[in-house]
Amino acid sequence: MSSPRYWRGIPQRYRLEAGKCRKCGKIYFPPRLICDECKSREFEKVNLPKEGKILTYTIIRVAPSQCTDQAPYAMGIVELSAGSTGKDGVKILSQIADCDFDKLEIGMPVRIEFRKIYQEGEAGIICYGYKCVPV
Amino acid sequence: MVADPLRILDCSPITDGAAAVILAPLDLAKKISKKPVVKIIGSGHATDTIALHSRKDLTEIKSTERAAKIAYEMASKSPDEIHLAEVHDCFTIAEICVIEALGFAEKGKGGPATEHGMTTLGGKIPVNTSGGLKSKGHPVGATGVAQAIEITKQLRGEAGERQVKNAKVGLTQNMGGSGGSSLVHIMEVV
Repeated sequence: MSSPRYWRGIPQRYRLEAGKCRKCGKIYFPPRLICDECKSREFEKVNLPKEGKILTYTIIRVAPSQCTDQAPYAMGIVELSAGSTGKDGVKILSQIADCDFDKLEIGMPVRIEFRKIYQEGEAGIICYGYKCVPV
Repeated sequence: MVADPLRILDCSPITDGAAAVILAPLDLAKKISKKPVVKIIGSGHATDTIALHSRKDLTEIKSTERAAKIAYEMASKSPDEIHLAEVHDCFTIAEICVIEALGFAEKGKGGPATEHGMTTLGGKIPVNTSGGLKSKGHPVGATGVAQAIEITKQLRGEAGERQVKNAKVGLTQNMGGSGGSSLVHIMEVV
């Protein structure tokens, strides 16, 4: 992914900013323009909580080119706790870092941390974002 | 191992390839074709979120389920009236989820049904007689048309050793974006 495109996602990648539908309350991460439940176009910005639990995961052993130096690594879908959003069950896709693969399990509590995601191209531009780590 | 539990043979190889079909109005097709004419009797398209984490259930491919419903209704056919199918088996699990979404197997039973031979040549519903994406290769832009070609060959009785006996009605299912978008077509030899 090119750096400008990556940077446009900074509010989500750095601060977990999501869009909450003002009409029906559904939360979208990343944010979107139209609510697929009620078709409303009005959203408010909410910051997602930084804790959750693993819903499912896999260990990537053959990684895409930007991530080969990190393989093998775990990727998972994490369900975030309700926190200040007042809504349970917002899900995000994230790398699960600093973990022992044998000890990973569904339901395991994790927290979200600000991490280096990968280095881009020959210039080595560092892209930051979120990763989960077991609590 | 590529990504647990998918091993290398569970993943379709991205390959080069090309495929083409000739579409014509039925009357004209009957006039110009020296071979049996295959008619599209049902067509359905549906979408879902591309992000896997936004889906309600990871074990269902909702876009295929919706597209199939549209195509079955248009064709006035039910899943048990389909004689064979070509499906988008980009990974082993994809074929299992797809045959469930198409109604060939109950939810959660696609894996055991496949193990017990439901989808083999001579099974209740032969799936991917062409080899599918995993065995034939996956030339992304040509894969969908290649499915239509395999069904056409089968319905014309030209499939040789892999011919499905008395195949009259076939189905193709193709998708992109891990099931973010699905297309289902039902074809019949006339």
